[in-house]
Amino acid sequence: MDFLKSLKAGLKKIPSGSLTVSSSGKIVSSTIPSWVPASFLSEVANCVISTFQNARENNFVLNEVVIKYSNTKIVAKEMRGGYFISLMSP
Amino acid sequence: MTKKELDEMISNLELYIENWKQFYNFINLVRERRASADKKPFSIEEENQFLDVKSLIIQQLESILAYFPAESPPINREEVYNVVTPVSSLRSMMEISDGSLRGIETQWHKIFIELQSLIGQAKIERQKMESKSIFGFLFRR
Repeated sequence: MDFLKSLKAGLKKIPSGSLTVSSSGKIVSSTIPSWVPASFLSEVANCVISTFQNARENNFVLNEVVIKYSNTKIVAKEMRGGYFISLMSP
Repeated sequence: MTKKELDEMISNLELYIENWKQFYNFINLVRERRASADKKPFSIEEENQFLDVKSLIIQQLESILAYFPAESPPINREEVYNVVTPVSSLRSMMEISDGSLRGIETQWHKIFIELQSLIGQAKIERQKMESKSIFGFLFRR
C-alpha cells in the first residue's frame, strides 16, 4: 500500500523563495510556502552549512555558493551568525 | 527571560541586522546602476531576491518584537515599514528622486543604529546573567 501511495505522490516543483538560517541550522525565517516539508529545507540548510564549514576547514574563503539543477538554482551566502539561502526556479 | 531565550534573541537579532544590511546592498546596487552609462535593467532573479529580502525583514521583525512587551516595542514597526514599503521593486527605486533615495537611506541608518543599540543592551544583560551564575558565585568566593 505504501508503494501505491508513493506512486500517487508525484513530483512537485520546488517553489522560489528565501530563508535565513542560523549557524546551528535552525530556520529563523522563510518565504518558502509551508507545504514544502521542513525536513527538505533543513536538508538544504545542512548542505549549505557543511559546504561553508568544509571550505573554512580547508582554508578556502567562500562568499557565495551557487548550485544549479535543471529546474532550481540554490544560492547561499554566509552572513554573520548564519546564512541566507535563496531557491530560484527558472 | 531565561539565558537560553536571551541567547536565542541575540542570535535572531544578529541575523536580522544582516538581512537589514542586505537591504542596503540593494540600495547601493541601484545607486551604481543609476550612475552607470548603460543603466542595465534588473533581472527577474534580482527583483525576486529583493522581494525576498523585504519579506524576510518584515517576517523576522515580528519574531524579534515577540520577545518584548507589545506596549513598548524597542523598534517602531511603522519606521521599518516606511523604509521597506516605498520601494516596491528595484526598477521603481531606479526611478525615484535622489532626495527620496537619500531619505530612505537616512531612515535605514537610523533603524540600523537602533538595532545595534538593542543588541548591545541584550549582550550586557547576558553578561549580567552569566556573572550571576553558580560558577561566577563560586569563583568570587
